[in-house]
Amino acid sequence: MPLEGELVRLREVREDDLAMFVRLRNDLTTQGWSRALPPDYTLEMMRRRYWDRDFSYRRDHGIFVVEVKDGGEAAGTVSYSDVIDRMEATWGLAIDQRFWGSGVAHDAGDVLLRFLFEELGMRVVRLYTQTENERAVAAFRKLGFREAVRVPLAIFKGGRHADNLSMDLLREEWYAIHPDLEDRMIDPFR
Amino acid sequence: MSADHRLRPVESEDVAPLARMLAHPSLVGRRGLHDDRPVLRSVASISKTVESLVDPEHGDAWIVDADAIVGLATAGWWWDALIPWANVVIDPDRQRHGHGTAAARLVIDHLFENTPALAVEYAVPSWDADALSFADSLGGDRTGIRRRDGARRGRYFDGIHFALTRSTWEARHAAGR
Repeated sequence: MPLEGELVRLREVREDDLAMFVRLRNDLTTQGWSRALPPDYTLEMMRRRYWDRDFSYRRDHGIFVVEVKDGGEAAGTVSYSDVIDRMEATWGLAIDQRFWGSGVAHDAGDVLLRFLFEELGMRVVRLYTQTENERAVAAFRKLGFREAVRVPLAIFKGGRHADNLSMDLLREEWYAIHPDLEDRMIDPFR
Repeated sequence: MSADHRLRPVESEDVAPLARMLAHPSLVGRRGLHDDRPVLRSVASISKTVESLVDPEHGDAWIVDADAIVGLATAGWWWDALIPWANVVIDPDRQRHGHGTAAARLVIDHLFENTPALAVEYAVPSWDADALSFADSLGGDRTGIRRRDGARRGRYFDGIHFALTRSTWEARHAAGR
């Protein structure tokens, strides 16, 4: 199954992507953290982060570059982490502002969800965000995520408080919004 | 609560007794250890996890001491120091003596008095009625449900999440709890 949607393909990180990683990490609006990181990350730091990864058949995370099919430009990254085998994973997305509103984020996010459900056999996928990031929260809802846990005013970012928010998406909910796909995986707890 | 409770650091010599306590069959699914498996485990297996509590990486861990080891309390703030989480587990042979409430209050008081926490989070599994009652009694609000948090006895269960805000904690203190 190629990791490919209508607008994007997901591929491995390459040397010439690292400048984009620095740009996303140093842009306070694309940092998906509960608090800001210093925007002083360097190309060398990113090189060490991605090139120090060892080969392994046991992986609990993955990160992909979102490549726009029309023109081949790198638009951002999608990732997953904290895998509990065949049960759950945490999903993440960072898209360059130039591509906001283009459908690229939705397409990339959904391609990764398809990988998590169809290949890794997850029963639930989670994400962590904060409510001040209204655009992102709306995009996550559109992908099928539902609000799980909200802690009021517990985040401070961009000079103001926001709610800490976690969202989740059950396997059957994702298939329900993809009627073209059939879930053939046996649920061990049904 | 008759004994004086205190939280003290986990020392190397605590590892064995702590692991023996946490290996108790009734604590399966309730040990509060990072990446814990919901099965019976050997003391040796649990010891390896407990050893990391002597010098925790992203938080703190304390022995709940009431003239003896009665439990383990942990707190973490990896995600954000404004919303640390807390967990308390009490020796099954010493439960229902107020140790859990005393330990939870000590942890919560510490986090509000000595850290910038605006809310303290804690969570319990949906199948654990006793833990749910205990969590409710601490005075926090339910902040949501983490669906399909795990599986037990052939069924999925959820994680029920709570947060005690600083303003609620201050009000309870002003009212003498």
